[in-house]
Amino acid sequence: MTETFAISILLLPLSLMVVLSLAWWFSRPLGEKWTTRLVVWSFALSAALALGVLTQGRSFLTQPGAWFSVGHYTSTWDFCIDPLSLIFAALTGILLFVIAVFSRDYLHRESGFFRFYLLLTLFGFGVLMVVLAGNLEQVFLGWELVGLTSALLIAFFAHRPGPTANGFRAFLTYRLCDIGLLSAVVWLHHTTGTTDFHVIENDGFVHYGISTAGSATVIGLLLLVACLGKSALFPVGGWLPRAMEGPTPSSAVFYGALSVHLGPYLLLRARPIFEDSTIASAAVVIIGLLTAFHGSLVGRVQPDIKGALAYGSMTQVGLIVAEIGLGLEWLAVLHIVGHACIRTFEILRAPSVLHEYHHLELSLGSVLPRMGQHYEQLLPAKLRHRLYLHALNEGPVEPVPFYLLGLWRKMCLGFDRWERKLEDLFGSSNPQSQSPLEVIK
Amino acid sequence: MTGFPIFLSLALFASGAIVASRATPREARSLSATLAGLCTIISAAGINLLPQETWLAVQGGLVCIVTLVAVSLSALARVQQSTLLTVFFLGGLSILTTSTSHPGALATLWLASVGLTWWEARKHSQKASRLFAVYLGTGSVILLAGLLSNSPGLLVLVALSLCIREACFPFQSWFLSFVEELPMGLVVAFTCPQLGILYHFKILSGQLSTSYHEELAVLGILTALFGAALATVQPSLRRALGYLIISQTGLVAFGAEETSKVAHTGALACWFVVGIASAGFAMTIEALETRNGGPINLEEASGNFESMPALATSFLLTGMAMVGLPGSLGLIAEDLLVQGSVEEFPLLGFALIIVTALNAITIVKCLLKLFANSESCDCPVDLVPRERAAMTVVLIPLFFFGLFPGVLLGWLGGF
Repeated sequence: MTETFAISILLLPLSLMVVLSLAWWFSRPLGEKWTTRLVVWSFALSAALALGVLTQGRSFLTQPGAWFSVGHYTSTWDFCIDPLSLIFAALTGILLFVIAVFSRDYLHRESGFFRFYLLLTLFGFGVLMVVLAGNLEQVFLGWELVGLTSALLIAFFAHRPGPTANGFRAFLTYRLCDIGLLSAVVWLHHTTGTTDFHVIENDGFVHYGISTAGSATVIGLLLLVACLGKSALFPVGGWLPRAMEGPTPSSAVFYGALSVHLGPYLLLRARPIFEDSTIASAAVVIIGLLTAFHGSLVGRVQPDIKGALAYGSMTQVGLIVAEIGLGLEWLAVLHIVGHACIRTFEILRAPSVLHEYHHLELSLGSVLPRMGQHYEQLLPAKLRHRLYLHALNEGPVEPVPFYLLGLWRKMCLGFDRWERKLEDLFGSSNPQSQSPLEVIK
Repeated sequence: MTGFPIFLSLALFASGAIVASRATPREARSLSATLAGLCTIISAAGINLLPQETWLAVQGGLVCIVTLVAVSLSALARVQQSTLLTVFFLGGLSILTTSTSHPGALATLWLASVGLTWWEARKHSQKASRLFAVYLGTGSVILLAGLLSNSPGLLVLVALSLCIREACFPFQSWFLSFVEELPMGLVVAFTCPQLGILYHFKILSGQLSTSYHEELAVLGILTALFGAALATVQPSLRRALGYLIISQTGLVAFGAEETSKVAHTGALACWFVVGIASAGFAMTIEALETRNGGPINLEEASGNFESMPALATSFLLTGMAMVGLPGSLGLIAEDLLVQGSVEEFPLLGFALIIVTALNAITIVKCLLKLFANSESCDCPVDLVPRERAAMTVVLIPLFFFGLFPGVLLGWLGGF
């Protein structure tokens, strides 16, 4: 019975997503009222089921069956039901329930209302798949869905160029970093014959193969690359503040609460791999601290509240990652839960923050005191000025991706020009007009 | 040859003949959609009713779906009755090709499909038809020399001709012009069944020496990387599509060189996915061009998702299914291909991961260019019922087999 409940946490949003998609495809979209009700109840039930299973205090791996099998390769459906996954599943259900309720009024009569809820359900399914997955293949499945829905929701207001460009930037970062996750899956499977979390934990990764220390480092670093993109870690986190151009509710749940914390969740799940590699663990700590420093610094000069909140998220996620690298897993879990809830609240309240400040200042009868001036108090003026300029430019690494993309574009277009010349040579009506030598030149 | 494929191909030939006799292109297209739909139903029935010919029926089903979507989403402005006739005949020839392994029959079918396509291409573009004639004509001569010599040493000629037919690097020049300048229905009917890959499985599997297999695998992954890289920067939508198809075909060609069962099944699954998904993807581009009134430049393109939601969704789902969207068969194919190939060619296996990432980036970039950045759209017509029905037929196998892959993998195992 507990196993059925545990799987139902995931099946509820999945079945709802299928119903909503089919209704829409066959031109029978549900109205706002029914769409909201179904989504709200689906996530409320998922959260209740997760909490219910969590209170039973059991940890187990459930295998409903094989997904597919070819030769010696078998892919099974594995679900890891333990306190870590259930806490995340409950958090996901609760926050998506809140967002679904909030968006009912926020997006009322918006032309993309149904699209928003459909993508939110798909996102919820993706996150639940990642947190309940019992192997890395399933993590990848949910991970990709989260990335795609994230990009599509950033570009939700598709009639403006800004959101679509930022949606594409987010997707570009995700997909390039996901190369790390897929490579880790393949490498782990190739080295150990399995990517199941329970096998890794029970047997201890160190017992596999002969080159385990090296493999653990490589796999750990590949997983870290995957986390860089999803959790907007240094140096690729420039997409995060720009992602705030999506609807406020989705910004809250994606970039304040759930999506950005999937990276730390993956690191927590793959803990045994990092325990066997000092280099990978050290890299996690360094990246985490750099991200926290970068986010804290750049967040201070943001002119808009959503940008400041995005960098605030980045700072906290950086700290969480550093905690995981230092082996403080349960502190990281508490940090994630607290940060996700508070940040969601802050982002949802962001549109009315000016009104609230005004109200507070009127009540106090004076301007609100400035807070959080640690750098101003601790650092000399000259260094402060340098750091200020650094923060305004979003650090030295922000232009690097654009420079690299420019080089890439130039190189590919060069090949394409050569290709076009070849086409003209063989396809032109007067083939004598250009010799092959000229084409090569 | 066995009974069911012959029956199915005759049904397609007869459909073509009936369609060609219609008075106007509009009438011909409506009737084409109905007849191709009937053929698809017959092939689906064949899969269920003929257990001993399941694999052939699956291939027939793929060709029928490709034909259905090719005729249903064709633009009236560029399609004449003769084009629809060619599409049906190419479908029939493709099905016959699936059912035989006789070298003479394979050579005849190859020549027939190349000749028929060239004959139709001449009516639409001089440049494309000339390039087609230069490359595919040479390829046909090489194939004939390789097949008819009956010498194992000359099988390398067959491999070379298959590389030309599948537009593998560096023989891809004809294909880009072919995609850019000809009616998409014709492009889809000739390209999407990926007969070159089938020829490969039928003639070359296990026949070439290991070193040749390795070289062909490298060529496959080079093609995939080349296509994926160049697709990311194309300003022309059709040219981007051409590079995407080249890239995906390169992946299938790479998988075809694998000897492990996992990678081999992955290559077959990839062949199935790329066949159906690229047909759907290409035809959504044709549908978009119809609404746009001509070819689309991605640097100037803008659209509105709200005015064409079903078209945008079809574009996204078919495109992403090709490159491994979770829930689609593409993910299973990609997984099997990568997992199987890492054992044999570790570095090439990882290159394959990069290829799928680049292709996914291209598809999302095109989606955001085509369906965003505009308050209103001059072409607010979404998929009409005929087009929506065809796209539904495309999406069903992609996602049904994505969720329940065991059924299809069982059939593919019979190959």
